[in-house]
Amino acid sequence: MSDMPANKTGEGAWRRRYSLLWPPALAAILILAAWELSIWLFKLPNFVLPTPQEILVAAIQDRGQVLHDTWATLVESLVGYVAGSVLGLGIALLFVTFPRVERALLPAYVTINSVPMVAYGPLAIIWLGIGASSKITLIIIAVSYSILINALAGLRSCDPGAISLLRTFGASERTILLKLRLPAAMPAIFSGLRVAVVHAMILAVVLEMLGAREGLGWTVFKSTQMMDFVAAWVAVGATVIVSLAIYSVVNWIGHKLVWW
Amino acid sequence: MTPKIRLQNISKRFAVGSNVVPAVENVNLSLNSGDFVTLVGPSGCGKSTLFNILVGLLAPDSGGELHIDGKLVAADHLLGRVAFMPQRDMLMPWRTVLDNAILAAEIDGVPRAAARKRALDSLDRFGLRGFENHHPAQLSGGMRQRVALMRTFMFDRDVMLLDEPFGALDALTRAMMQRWLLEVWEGAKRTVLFITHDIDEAIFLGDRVLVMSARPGHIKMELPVPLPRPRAPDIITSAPFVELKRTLLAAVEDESRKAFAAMNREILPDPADA
Amino acid sequence: MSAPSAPVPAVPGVPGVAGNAAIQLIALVVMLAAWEVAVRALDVSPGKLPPPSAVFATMWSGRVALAGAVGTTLYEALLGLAAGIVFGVLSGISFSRFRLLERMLLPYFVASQAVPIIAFGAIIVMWFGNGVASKAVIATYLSFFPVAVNTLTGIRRVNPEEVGLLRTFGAGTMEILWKLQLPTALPSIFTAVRLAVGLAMVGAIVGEWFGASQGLGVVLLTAMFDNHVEQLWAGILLTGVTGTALFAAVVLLQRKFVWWHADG
Repeated sequence: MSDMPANKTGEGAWRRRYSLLWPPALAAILILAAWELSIWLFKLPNFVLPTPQEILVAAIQDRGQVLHDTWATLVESLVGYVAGSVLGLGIALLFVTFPRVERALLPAYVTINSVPMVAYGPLAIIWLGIGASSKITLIIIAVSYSILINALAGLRSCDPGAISLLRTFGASERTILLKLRLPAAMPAIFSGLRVAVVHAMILAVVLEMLGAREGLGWTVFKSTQMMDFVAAWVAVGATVIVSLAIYSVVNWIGHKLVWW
Repeated sequence: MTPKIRLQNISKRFAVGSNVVPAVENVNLSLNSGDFVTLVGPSGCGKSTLFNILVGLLAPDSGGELHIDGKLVAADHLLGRVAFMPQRDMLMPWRTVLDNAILAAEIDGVPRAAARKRALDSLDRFGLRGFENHHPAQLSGGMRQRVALMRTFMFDRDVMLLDEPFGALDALTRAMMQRWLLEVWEGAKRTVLFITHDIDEAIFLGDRVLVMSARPGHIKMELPVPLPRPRAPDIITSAPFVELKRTLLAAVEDESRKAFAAMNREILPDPADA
Repeated sequence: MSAPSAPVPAVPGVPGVAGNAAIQLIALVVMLAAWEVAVRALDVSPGKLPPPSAVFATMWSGRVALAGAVGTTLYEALLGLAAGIVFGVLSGISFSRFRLLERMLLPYFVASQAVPIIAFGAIIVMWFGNGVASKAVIATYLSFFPVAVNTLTGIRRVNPEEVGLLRTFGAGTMEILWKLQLPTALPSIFTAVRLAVGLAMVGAIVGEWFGASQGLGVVLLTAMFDNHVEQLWAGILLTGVTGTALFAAVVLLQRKFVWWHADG
């Protein structure tokens, strides 16, 4: 939908991309080399540090289990993330429309969230069991809070002069919300959505470590207890990949919708 | 002829801390249909307060009267009746030039497609042909102001209120925009009240120049501008123009001095200017 | 003079920190009272949700052990936070100096903020054992990344013309760093530290879950295994209080040292 200045010639774009890409690629090679070298040099056993190949081989061999765990964690975090985002945005709109409700409820929301969310983990497990619902519930609370705070700031950020101008056009409060405040709040809402991806993943993984039947966090915990350190590395790696994937999707949508 | 808009004994006081500060006092003002009236005054003379009253954003203190077409109306009756252009362009960065131009019409209830079509037809008049699908961030200051002005014109109202629309432009662009505004206005024949700090601009554009006093603001002087239209750029060096300018400068100087002295005594910002 | 803003009443936005703290305190008291009343009125089984009075009684009878737990966790978090800030600021400065280093590593630093790197905690505990060190290391690497990134962006915010001006005064690299670049970066460093405080607490607690003998994380975990809900709530409240106190301390430091930059 945007027609911002088009990219330069294909070649120039390629060169720019190349100059952005080679330093991190070089860093990755150097890190991998140092990794291998230190294992070889200090004769590190694989329970201290497995080689990258060992991790890769294990990931491929156990792909069924890895995919199963990845799916479990992905479902928990995505369900909680989407529900939490919708809830957070809904509450923000409610608060902006009825400031009285905000004055009554926002301090309570802030108080609940002044405790690091992971500390509620054991309670969630006791109340809701070790299934997905305990993870999803906490993710909803954490994500909705992050969206709420950002959306409130965004909805309030717009220029009072612009609101006055729209009122001189005869705009109703609803029109002002739809045509001005909501679009103006989009950048803030998306930065909340970006941060919330990490919250959702952290809670899913950490709560699985506390107690679960499946999932990447559960596998990390179980395999460290069973001294199967390669499996722990595989699960940690899968966590990183899942998280980056969700983040990239959210980021991409954000850039499409908030290009200005 | 009944004036289009008439303000009678309009005053507005604001509570600032424990003090009550009069921003405007006993303003009497009428705009006839088709008039181009300009208003000059020292900073902080309550111009913004007066404007906010005229567009219906602010209710005047009791005792004053607002008349439209000879009928007495309540203050909020003016919301949505006067096409207002603020100092800053307030374009929405996510809307194209075209969609920014139709914003007011859209809110007024004109279907988007119809509004877009009408806007496309008047792009030439506003010098924006070829830029309809650009976004505000891609435009120069003068072009942005033209989009804002187009938005104001597209909001079909008989009365237009322009608050220093060219204040932020450089001198050359400003002179071009003034001539261009006169052309557009002569084509559309709307009633215009135009606020400015610039006395040359006030004389060049207006049929009448109003001088506002230092706070509390009231209309201190009303000076007709008997210069023929259309006005050529070099009119500003003609003898009658210079004579008008001399009169106005004296009046404005006087008020500026008062305003400046008052500012040094105590700093009381116009609450509507904040 | 700006546009036609009618004197609309000030938006009831987030008030200053002091006002905020008072509001939060009132909210906390009201919530505790409502909780107490609700539990008693609805006759909730204390195994599900104990009344706050029971939680406070548990806290009082276990005060010595709980104080020890708070002390341990606070120590781990503070140690990690301090190390994270030092390393973070140093790498931010190095990034600003060595462009290639930045281009090689910054993408990973930024990506790390989109990843639950806490999952590496299990491995850290394996490496550093069950003591304080492993938790401090987790807290360190969690707080390190945001501080490093914000130090760099803060230094980048320095106007090159100001650097040029100092040069014309004869200032050297270190002087420019001390007198211009770090002070300019300080507000954004503090923003990162405020974030890092929470991360360090989380790092310490989750680190304790992987194996520890003392700390708030241990209190929470054993309470969960023993189904001891009063103890669990005591742990949650103490975690909140400790985290908030740490955060408040950072805000106070920020106000003392970055008074010129309103970012309350």
